[in-house]
Amino acid sequence: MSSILSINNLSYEIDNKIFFDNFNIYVEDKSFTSIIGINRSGKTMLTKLICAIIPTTDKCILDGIYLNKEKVLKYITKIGIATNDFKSPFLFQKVKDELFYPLSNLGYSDNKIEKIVNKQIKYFNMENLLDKNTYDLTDGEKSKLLVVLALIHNPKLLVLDDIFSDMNKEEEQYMINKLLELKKHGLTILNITSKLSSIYKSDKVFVLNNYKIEKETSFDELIKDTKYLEKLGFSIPFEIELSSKLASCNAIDNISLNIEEMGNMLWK
Amino acid sequence: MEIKFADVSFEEINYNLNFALKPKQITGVYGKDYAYLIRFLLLNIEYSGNILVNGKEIKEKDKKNFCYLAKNPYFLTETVSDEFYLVKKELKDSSKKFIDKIVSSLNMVGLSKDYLDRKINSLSKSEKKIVQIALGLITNPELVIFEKTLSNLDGNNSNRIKKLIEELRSDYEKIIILIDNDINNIYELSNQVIILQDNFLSGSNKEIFSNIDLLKDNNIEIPDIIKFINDAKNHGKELSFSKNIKELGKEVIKNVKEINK
Repeated sequence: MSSILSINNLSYEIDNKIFFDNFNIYVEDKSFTSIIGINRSGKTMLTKLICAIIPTTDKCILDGIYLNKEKVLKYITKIGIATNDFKSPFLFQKVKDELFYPLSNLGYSDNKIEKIVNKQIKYFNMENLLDKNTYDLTDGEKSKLLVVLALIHNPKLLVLDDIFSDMNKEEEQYMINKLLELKKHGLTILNITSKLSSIYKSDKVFVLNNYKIEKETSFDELIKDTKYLEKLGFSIPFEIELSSKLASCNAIDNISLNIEEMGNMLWK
Repeated sequence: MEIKFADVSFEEINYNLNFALKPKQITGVYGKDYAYLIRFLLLNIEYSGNILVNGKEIKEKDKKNFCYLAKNPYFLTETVSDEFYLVKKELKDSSKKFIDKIVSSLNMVGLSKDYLDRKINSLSKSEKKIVQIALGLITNPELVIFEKTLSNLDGNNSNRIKKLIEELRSDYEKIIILIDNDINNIYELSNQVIILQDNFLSGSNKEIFSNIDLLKDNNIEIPDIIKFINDAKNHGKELSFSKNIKELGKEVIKNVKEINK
């Protein structure tokens, strides 16, 4: 397996306080990789380092390109980033204008832009949002628009920084399924999050704690140890918490992610 | 204090709001139109109908008794202490013993006096939210509006603030409005529920959440626990409406053992 993104020996400090110390991570090409961490574990800072918002030199390599002053433009066009970190993330009043802007910025012809935007709108089923004002969107719709914007220039790597925290369950699962579809066509998804319900379908999970990768594991392995996750401070999704409690009392055979499946095991 | 909405409406919405807010009660508010409720209470829009505070139409001065905690706390100074004194200035509060008010406010949210020296930018997301609550409580308001305060927090921090909201209700007898887009939080914490979606709905927690068809018909997400209870019902098992997983788990295990006997 080849890696699309690698970070090698990254150290980062502010005012003599060390945050990342010889940090390493490899993200496999065309994978859905999740990095989970609670508030203050270093998620947003890591996102900023990966996305060149905090400048570094030759520590991050994306699709063969070393991130440094000279290559930063080439590097960032391969990344799409969607973050909840900005208070007012949009530049325009209308959703439509928001979608057209990044591409006209890249110098694409009007014809081409229209084609791309229309394709995205159709794919993410968001015709109903187009003529809305960005400030009238619900939190879930705002997050959805942020993801769509991050993908509009067809990046290789999509970085999501806690983007699911404002989505309800339905919106979250819809978005994840749409992204997994894009994964089949070559997109790598890096989901940096504190919300465990968003990582069910990950190929690989890293646990970020206190600016260090504490564990590299699979989702199935991870949820076997809910005590560990609770101790770190995660809120455990309902299905996992209940089914692991019931499994530990032998009321059901295994941890289930689905309420109906759990019901079938219990009330057979 | 009691606040009563009687046929309250606004040109942009095609329903009327009817409900009452009382002390020692958490009213959970869910739905995309929730902001209208805040705008009504803060007198930001012209409404039709009546909003009655203790039986009289609401006035600007009633807002002194309200505390609105906006979704994203923002701060204008550098330290927690400076923030409190800025509030003092805004309130034109000339009391010499303002520090006593600060301390009792910090007490209510469970923070020690040491927090006064903390730099704002050294506070975590949840600490900022708790400081925001403490600042809001300095006037000892009777109504506290939490706008999505619980969103964007990890498990431990979310539990801490949930506990705090419950204490403000039970120990300090506040009227609480809890706006949240996680229906599970609304189910877990609120006594009364208001839905401002395509329609207006209100009722006790049980009235709203024991009626699955009502939830489905109105495009309201179903809380996880309710989904589970409903699924059990379809299997012929009646479970009680527990509010948390621990209670639910115990009951389920008891029931499963009975089946196996």
